[in-house]
Amino acid sequence: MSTPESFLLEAPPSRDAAVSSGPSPTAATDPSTLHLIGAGKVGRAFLRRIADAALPVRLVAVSDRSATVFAPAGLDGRAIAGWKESGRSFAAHPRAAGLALDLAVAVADAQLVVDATDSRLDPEARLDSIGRTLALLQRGVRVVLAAKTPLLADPAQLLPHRDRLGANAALGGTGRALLSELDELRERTTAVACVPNATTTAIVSALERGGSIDEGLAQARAEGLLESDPAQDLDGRDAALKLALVARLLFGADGARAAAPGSIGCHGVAALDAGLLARRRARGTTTRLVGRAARSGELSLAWEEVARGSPLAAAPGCVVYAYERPDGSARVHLGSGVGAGATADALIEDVRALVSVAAARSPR
Amino acid sequence: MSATLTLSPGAELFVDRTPFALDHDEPLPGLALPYEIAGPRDGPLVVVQGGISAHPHATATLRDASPGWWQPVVGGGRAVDTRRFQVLSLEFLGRREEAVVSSGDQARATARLLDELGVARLHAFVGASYGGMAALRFAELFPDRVERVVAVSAPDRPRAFATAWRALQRRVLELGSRLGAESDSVAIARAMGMLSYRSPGELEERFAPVGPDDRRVESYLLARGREFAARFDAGAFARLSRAVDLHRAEVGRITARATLVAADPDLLVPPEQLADLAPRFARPARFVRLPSRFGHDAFLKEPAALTRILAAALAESP
Repeated sequence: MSTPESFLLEAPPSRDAAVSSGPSPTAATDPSTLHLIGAGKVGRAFLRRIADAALPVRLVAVSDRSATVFAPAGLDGRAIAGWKESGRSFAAHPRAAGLALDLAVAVADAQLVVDATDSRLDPEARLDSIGRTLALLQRGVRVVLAAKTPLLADPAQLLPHRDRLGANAALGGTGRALLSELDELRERTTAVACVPNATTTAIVSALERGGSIDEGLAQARAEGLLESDPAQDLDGRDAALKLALVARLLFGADGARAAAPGSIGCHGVAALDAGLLARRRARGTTTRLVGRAARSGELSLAWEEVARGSPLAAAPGCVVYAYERPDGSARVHLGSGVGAGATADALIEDVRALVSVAAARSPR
Repeated sequence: MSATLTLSPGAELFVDRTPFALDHDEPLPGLALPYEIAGPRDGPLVVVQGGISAHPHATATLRDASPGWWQPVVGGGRAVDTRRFQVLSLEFLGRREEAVVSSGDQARATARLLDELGVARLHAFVGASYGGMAALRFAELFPDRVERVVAVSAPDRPRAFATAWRALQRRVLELGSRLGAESDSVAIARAMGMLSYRSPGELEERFAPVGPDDRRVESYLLARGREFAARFDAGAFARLSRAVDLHRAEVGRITARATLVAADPDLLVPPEQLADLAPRFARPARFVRLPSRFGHDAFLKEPAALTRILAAALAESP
């Protein structure tokens, strides 16, 4: 390492855009082992990206609903993604074992678990998902989530482990900012306003252009924005879930009815009035499905007229969370981590960050 | 694209997911620019931009009554009169974007925002320091979109002395990063900047040493530096500092009615540099000398004199 004096005498760099921050992922440490749970569209996009990302990780297991493929020496992400895309089940893979998921996670014993499963809200699946995530974190495993339901865990249990938790993809590319700023946000935020679902925005855009809901849906599908179960987008449940979990993380499990996303009145796209949307557009405003949460515990989800220039007038393909402060300012997190590819990118960003932190902590 | 930013109470947000090409770096995935508009929404539009530390809140508004960074100059009945003009001020590209940015990039980002706002043509672009460089580049790149340009303490290209000063500030920032002392390095680099923004005469007048242990001038500079460090990170500082160095404007392509205002003295942009520049515009620019003991920072410290100059420039026939 050069001394400050010698550094001062170095030739100027050809490009000095930014001051470097923090250590880079080190090659001096062993790769972290990684287990991917969920090999749907997001999972497969992640597998292809992890193969290209040159991260210090070794993919040792991939699970779908049928089985888990294991390879302690490392799996080829592209090959595994290709296996699924050819229509074959993991149960037919030569390296597969048909273990229950929790057992498979224990057998793989990876240092990093990426959960790219669907966000299922039925009580049993939700409890499974929360329980698995908390157990992993308590064991010191780093967990990266595209699934949203684990974030409905009691914040008092979840947040002590947040330095090992990635939630970027679960919140459309804004989860990393939320967790990194959480202390300040919890202290200063009086209310949250958000547009957490990009599909509804795509449908609004189609209606504003004179199209139909079906055309908007087709556009959203073409852009890869739809959840695997589009009904969750269309009836507002996906937006309600995201609003609920953000409110829980910010205001605590007791401070909001957020404990139960089902308690938030949902307003699906069927409630949209195309004529009203067109009139709003003509006067320079737009319409968004806006979630609101207050520290007092009030939660709401409704179609709102939004002024151009409002952070809530998020462009199609974006989600936005505005954390309002007592002085009238707002901390805004804008994300475009929606759709399989962008969600996978958001996962990669979390994996990169968690691997980097782990590398920085490991003894040299 | 993802972004995290703070919107002041009166600020609005422009988001554009179209990739944005940069002069000196890979394209950005899109733009997310906070901005504020004061004044009547149907009035002629004036863009105002300040030095690298300026922000979108140029003046008090109904939504945000706190004083803006150019409060004495922008507002009802002031030089840039918000009873007549709608006044737009926006965040500088590079404040958050981790990329090499330039005044040309800033000009193109401004044009994109104007497209979004439905503004075809500006009444004027008024800029000081780096904001003046952005104004010149806007007028060069979009000659049909601006009628008047006023550039205060802003040249067509930096001189060696100014570049050297900024290069050393960036070295301090880099050193701070290596030593884990980022905030201190920002404060010291900004204090160095302050020294170049003011004049030797002003400092002598205010802080002439009364004894060998008198460190008031040092305390003053470092206090300003620490204030800056509380709201500016090293990366943003380095990027915008570099953007000033990268600035080049071909003023021969500027057809707007132009006014160049030179603080006298100004260590960074000496009056003679702007006097030489004025005749090279497509239509020779009006050159105005602004005598000030404050140096480069005259645009912030001489509101009365500046008001007379700006009022005349904004009233000129295009």
